[in-house]
Amino acid sequence: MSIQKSSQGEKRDTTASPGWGAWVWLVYLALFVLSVPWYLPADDRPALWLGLPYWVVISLGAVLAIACFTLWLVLTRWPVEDDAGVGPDDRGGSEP
Amino acid sequence: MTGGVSDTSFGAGGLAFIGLYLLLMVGLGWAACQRQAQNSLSGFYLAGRDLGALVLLLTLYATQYSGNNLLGFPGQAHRIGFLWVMSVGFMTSVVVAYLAFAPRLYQSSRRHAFVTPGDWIEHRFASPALSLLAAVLLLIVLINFLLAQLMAMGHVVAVLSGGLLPFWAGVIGLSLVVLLYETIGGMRAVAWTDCAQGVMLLLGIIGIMVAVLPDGESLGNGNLGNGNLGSGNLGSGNLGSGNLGSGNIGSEGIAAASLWIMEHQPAKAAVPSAGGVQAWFSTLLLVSLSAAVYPQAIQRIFAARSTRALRHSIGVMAFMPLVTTLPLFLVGILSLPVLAGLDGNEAGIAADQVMPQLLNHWAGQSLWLWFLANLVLLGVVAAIMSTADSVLLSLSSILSKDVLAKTWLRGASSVTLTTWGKRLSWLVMAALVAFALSPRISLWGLIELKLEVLIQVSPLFFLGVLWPGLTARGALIGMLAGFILAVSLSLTGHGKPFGWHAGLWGLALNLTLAWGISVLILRSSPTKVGGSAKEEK
Repeated sequence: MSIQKSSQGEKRDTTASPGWGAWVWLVYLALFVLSVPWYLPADDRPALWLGLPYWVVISLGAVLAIACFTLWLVLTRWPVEDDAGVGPDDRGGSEP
Repeated sequence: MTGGVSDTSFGAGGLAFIGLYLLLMVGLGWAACQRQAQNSLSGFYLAGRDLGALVLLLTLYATQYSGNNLLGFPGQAHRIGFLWVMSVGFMTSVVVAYLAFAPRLYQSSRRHAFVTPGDWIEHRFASPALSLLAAVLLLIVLINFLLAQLMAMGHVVAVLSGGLLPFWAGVIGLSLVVLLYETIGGMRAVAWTDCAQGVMLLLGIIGIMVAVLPDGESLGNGNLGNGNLGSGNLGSGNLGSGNLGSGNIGSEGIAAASLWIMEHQPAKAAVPSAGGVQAWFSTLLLVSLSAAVYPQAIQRIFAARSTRALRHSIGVMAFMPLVTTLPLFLVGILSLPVLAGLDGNEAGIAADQVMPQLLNHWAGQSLWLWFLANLVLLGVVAAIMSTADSVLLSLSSILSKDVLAKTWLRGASSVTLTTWGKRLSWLVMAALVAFALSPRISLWGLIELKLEVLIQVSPLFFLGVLWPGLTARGALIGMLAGFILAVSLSLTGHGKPFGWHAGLWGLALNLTLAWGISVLILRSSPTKVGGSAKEEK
């Protein structure tokens, strides 16, 4: 993990920390919007899927997709770095 | 849970359960104390930044799911019906929200040895005023949260002991146990006890499902033995429509409950109206943006041993709502016909009485259900204590590191600050126990405000990490204005203007001001990028 100086002399981290691309947030947005049944017609007696009103199952399916996508994302797109370097500990209080 | 349900269904057996459980907690705290010297701030408050993936996962889990979840969520499902499936989504959204800032915040915390969320704010914005205001808002939230846990402790112990132990004994007794293991073992003790409590929580939820599903099945067969569930309601042809799904016991029980609800309370099963959809989106936004920045959650990010441990924990956490919130939602749904049958009132009962009523109902049915009901109540106690200890530890760290270290104890050693943090834990706990024991005080309204307040702090983490252009002045004015607006709206009875939570209106003002002021400052003084020489990209 390196630290470089910008043109204004500021310290800036040039770390490879995961800055998820816009596509990641678009996928999340689509799945969360899907999880809320705003697009379904009004229905007082919805059909049952797996014992639940169908719109509940659709919502849960979207949440399951969000969980799977999150697991895939953190396991494949979140780089594991060398965590050995820890800065001076306990700022705000000096060690005895 | 506000009702003190006293029933002799639990009694001495329940007391024995809780006695054993508390001994285990103190033992774990003592074992954690033996593990290492923890008198430095990071040693005591972050377990030496050495939490592995499994411990981190369980402590995040136990901390995120409070007693309120176990007691309140089934009640909410009972009250508003299937619309409460939103709870599964909004609990998942909290994990997704972590992804926006946790990776970079974790790396910064390693490089700069953050102990509290305030360390990040100070590092990023270099503004004492902003750091102090954020610390005050976080303390308000934590105090409210801790008070809620203390009150829940009293009610649960009263139920678990079958009335043998009064409310005050539960509050004082469990508070002392939490203080004891936290003082001797710090974050490591809290994390280890959280592991046991997380397992108890899961067992409790399994207990709920095992206990409630036979009711659903018997409901399907018309065996509950009450007039409300007569065969005429369930034998109307719906059961034979081929919609029952896989045909296993659980699905049949749930299907029978769904059909009963559509028959007797159809509004609770209908596709949500425009108002319901708006409430759903509003809650989703409020919870995801606020709950992700709970100080105790952020400190667990700091405490991770490695990036690998953190990412594994967050990856699995994304599934925890499906194994925790979903069963609680289903319990609330299954309770609708069961409790309507019990009290003969199809309109249902008060939301906070749903779980106590169910537990009392089960405990009186058979020895096996009595055991399961005790397991559930122990899970509730575990959820309450695991949240209380994490909140208390976080509160203590903010008081010592962000307040005392910058005022009276400026320049004090790490050991001195840690010692003062422990003392403050006892003082804060004593004051809050006194509040909780006062029967005149009902702070539930204020407790509900905590997310509205917390969300005003969230831009310091989300935007602070993602947008280098956010200046300290913009963040400060935005946060202050958003806080004043959100609290004013809530306290004047306008909790949801135009269907959106007051906290979101406050956040809109907060973000508008933060953005506008930051852009103005950047234009007038382009060299002050980010408003801080310590800017993080």
